[in-house]
Amino acid sequence: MPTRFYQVILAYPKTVIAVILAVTLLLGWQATKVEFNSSIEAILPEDHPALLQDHEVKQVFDSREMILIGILNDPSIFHSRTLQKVADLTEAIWQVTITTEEDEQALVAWSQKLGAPYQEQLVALSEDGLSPQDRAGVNNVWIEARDDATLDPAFLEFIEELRLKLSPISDVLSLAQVDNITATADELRIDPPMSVVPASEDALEAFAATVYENEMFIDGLVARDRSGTLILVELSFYYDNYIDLAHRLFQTLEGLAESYRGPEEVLLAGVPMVNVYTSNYMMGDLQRLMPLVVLLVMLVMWAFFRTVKGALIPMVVVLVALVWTLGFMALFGRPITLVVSAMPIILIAIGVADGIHLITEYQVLWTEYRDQDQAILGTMHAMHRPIIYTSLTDMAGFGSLAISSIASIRDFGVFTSVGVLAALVFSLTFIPAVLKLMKPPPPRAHVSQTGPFASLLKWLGEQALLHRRGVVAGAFLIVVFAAILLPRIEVGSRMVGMFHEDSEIVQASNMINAKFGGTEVLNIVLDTGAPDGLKDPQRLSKIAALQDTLEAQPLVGYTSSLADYIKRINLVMHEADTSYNRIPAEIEQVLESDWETVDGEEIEVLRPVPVHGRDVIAQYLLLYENAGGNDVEKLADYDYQKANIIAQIRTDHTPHLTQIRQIAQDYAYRAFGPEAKVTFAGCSNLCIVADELIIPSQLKSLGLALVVVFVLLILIFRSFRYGVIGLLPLALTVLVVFGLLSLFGVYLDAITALIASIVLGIGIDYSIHFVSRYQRLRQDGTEPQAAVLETMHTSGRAILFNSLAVALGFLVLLFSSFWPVIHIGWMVAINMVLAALFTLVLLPAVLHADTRRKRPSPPNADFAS
Amino acid sequence: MKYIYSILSLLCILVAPALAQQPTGQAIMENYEAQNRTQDTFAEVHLTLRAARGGTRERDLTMWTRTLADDTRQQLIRFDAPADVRGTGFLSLENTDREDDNWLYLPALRKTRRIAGTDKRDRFAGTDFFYEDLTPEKLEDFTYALQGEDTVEGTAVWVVEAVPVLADRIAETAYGKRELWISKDHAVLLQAKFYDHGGGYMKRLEARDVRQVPGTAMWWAYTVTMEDMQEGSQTELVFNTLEIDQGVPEDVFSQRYLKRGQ
Repeated sequence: MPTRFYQVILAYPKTVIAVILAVTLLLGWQATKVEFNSSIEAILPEDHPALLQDHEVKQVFDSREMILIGILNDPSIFHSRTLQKVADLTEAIWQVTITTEEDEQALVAWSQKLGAPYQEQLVALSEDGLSPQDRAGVNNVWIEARDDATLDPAFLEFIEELRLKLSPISDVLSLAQVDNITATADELRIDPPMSVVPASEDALEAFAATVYENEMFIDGLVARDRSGTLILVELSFYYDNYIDLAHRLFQTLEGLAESYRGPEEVLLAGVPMVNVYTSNYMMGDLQRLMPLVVLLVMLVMWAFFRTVKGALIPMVVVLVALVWTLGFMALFGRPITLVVSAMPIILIAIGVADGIHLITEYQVLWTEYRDQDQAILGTMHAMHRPIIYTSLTDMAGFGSLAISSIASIRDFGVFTSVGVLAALVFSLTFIPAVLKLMKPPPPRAHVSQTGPFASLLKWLGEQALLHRRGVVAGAFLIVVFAAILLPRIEVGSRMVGMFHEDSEIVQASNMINAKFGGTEVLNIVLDTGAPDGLKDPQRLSKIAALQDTLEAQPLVGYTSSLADYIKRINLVMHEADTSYNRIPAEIEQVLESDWETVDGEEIEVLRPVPVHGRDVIAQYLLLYENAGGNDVEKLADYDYQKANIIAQIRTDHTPHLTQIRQIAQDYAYRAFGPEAKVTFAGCSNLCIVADELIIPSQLKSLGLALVVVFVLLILIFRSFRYGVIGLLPLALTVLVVFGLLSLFGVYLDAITALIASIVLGIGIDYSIHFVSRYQRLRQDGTEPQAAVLETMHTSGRAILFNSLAVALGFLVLLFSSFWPVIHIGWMVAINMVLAALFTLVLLPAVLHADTRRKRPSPPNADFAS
Repeated sequence: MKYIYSILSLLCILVAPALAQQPTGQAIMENYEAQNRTQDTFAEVHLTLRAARGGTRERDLTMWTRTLADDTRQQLIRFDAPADVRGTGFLSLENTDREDDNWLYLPALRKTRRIAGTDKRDRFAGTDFFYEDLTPEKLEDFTYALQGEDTVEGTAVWVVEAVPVLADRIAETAYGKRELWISKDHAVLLQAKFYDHGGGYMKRLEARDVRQVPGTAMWWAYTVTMEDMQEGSQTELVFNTLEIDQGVPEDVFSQRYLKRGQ
């Protein structure tokens, strides 16, 4: 069948190469547009309820992600130099813009393109460059443009983005800019605690006293031990929508922070920062690890072939396949996430196998035939089936991830499969075409019968045959161990903890976690079911109690809710009498004054009257609104129906976060009853949800992969029995993978969850090669024992070599910046070698035992390797 | 010399009708201020606040104002609805010689408290109106320029631009510029655009339902909507009752009346 196909290729090798190169250029140009996205949102499917809910919560409470800037000074921040920096930095952050020269050029271009009323305004804006002074002007154009139906939508998009670039910060909270509710002698005030930077010792001390008098600031805005204060910076946009902007903002803020350092420490943390770091490290990883893995794999190939050509051709095939894959990713608009970022390296490590097999065969056949066309056709004839089969099993292993609920795992599975497919196609077209155009290789000696590899394999085969029972018992023991270890696998992940301990983001996060409430945020949203439901004193008290319950957890550093503000106003409205540092009761007794005429004289008398706590709360809120306070916006919706209770947590270990969420859930259910709806949001919740999706989703994918691979084995071997036998070493390896995760306490997360699929996809090739060869030898009449030893010598050698090459490739991942990726590196490396060993030890034992009872089924005559 | 004066006078007479057609911005605003000048007002108002993030708040309140001989203003605002804030009041008394006096009364606490002075640039009762949007025009603080003529809902209007006149006045207003659409017939403000000191378009006002105030020569827009162009929020203010210069008792503007609650 395929001979005709290869004859055509050999007739037009240049055309084949030209077509492949042309398409590669086209897709390569696409590939440059592929986006990086490192947010947790990118991991979850776009339509996941938790994600939709998260967006809704952000909308209702008008909140976006926060960057935390910690300013630390030893021993105290109550130093006029430090406080001046807080004030200056607060102001400087408001003035931050992230426009570029391109924006200015685009502005000029639009001003030439558009007519009235925009032209004049745009010309005015483009004069003397873009600066904060242009915010108003750009805003005016935007206000006009958004209602203009006849306008080019591209312009509206441009002006919307320009508006964000000029005002990337929507809110800044710091000592110089936060609602402080206070009452002096007889006056109620809501204003920032620090309007003027105190200079004298006395003024500094008085200022410190003011700050620490307000409980809401402690741990939230200032460190308990006075050594640090936070500036909370809220972005104007969602990270996911404007990743480029987030990166530029980060650089600007980092530069700004740098200029304020010394002797104060200025640290940046928070979710957007983690996302930016992840992205940067991801790109750094690719830039560092890609050349390394390319070099290493080429070195190994050179060692094997001893020719530069031999080392180069398979690498070209796999690199072209990689370009195609990235091109397709860009075409389908899928981003490179942390999970997907492992794909190029994996593709290189496994994709060169096809080329290796083809060139090996070609070298042998050339030596035999001394005719280029004949040797190439012979090679393709002998090899195209095994190459297709092994590629199919690889694709089954990775492709089964396509049913995953985690978007980035799905992308990884789909696009790694696409890459394998592309590599397959080029191996079958590009390689014969290139071989045709190249000078034939020097004649090659036959595979040596001696040497350490050969004797090791011989010894292994003999031992396996000798101790068949022992081998089976050993395998059984591994199953038992794995069964014990399996339940102890901990599903979990870390956002900041992914990085090395000495990276800036980990240091900054640790420091901020130590001094303040915590960098991880969990939003607990209570829907009371009806407008004004939050004005109910009992409910507010329960919210306060929920906060107390959470704060009793050592890892919860700070909580805030509407209840804090009501408590605070209640306190200051009662002359700071601490017995009023609470939510008003259902019924409060207050003193009413009245004027009575006693003995002809008008005197004031006070008599107690009961009032509703609900009215007290409603009036506090009115008072707060009227005084221009707006920090409550983030804690209650406009109708006072939904409360946003924010818990700041000092760890990023998702099992701990899950525990804290559970405590909140249990308490809320008991306190608010079934009629109140409690939902969760925030980055912590998304991490938890992503984790929860992993186990069922991975089990499904792995199950599917095993079934598909099993069916493929049966089809390839044309035997059910051999299908079962072929699956054994890999089933065992997959168990070991999970056993090792458990043994070393590595979290099963979106990334480490891939290990089993990778190992299965690659490792199953070993079984195919081994069993097929054995089948063919038996068909040729070789006795079982001799067939096993011969298979060990030929296929066994290739299997061991391949597993070592793949393991070496994966070990490169040890140099990654991310712990989960490092775990993939060593876990896959170990398990590939184990998969090879299991194949080489278990299969001889089982095959031999098997064939003693029964003749093998008709072997697949076409297939040999 | 006499001759020249005669010619000039003649010219003036000839040109005057044309000038009468195009009064200056200053003249329009002087007329506007005069037409809208009140001694005292009593109003019952319904407020509807709409937030950009979704949700509305409804409020009923009663307002009393009066202007004293020394041009200082006194104002009492009392909430009537929703029920849980009924009786909450704000009293403000302007002073010429010292800081203004501002008091708050919370009926649930039966307590009056002095509060920080409201800035003219502050939001009125958490709405999209600033206090300065609700106070009479101070002619000496602004320069006015006639921009042209227009119609609003079929009514002919003058369009006047108002800019604060002096640096020290600038600090007292949130607006670097106002564009005012003032009806030619009854000198009612029908529409306005407000810009901040950087030239940013802040708010838009639309006034409707113009009627003559009973018992006066004054015409009034009974429905006024203010929209925040940047935040996307909106406040509608409807006058259910309006009495002008009907003589508000003096003791209304006292702590004791504030405390009476209703």
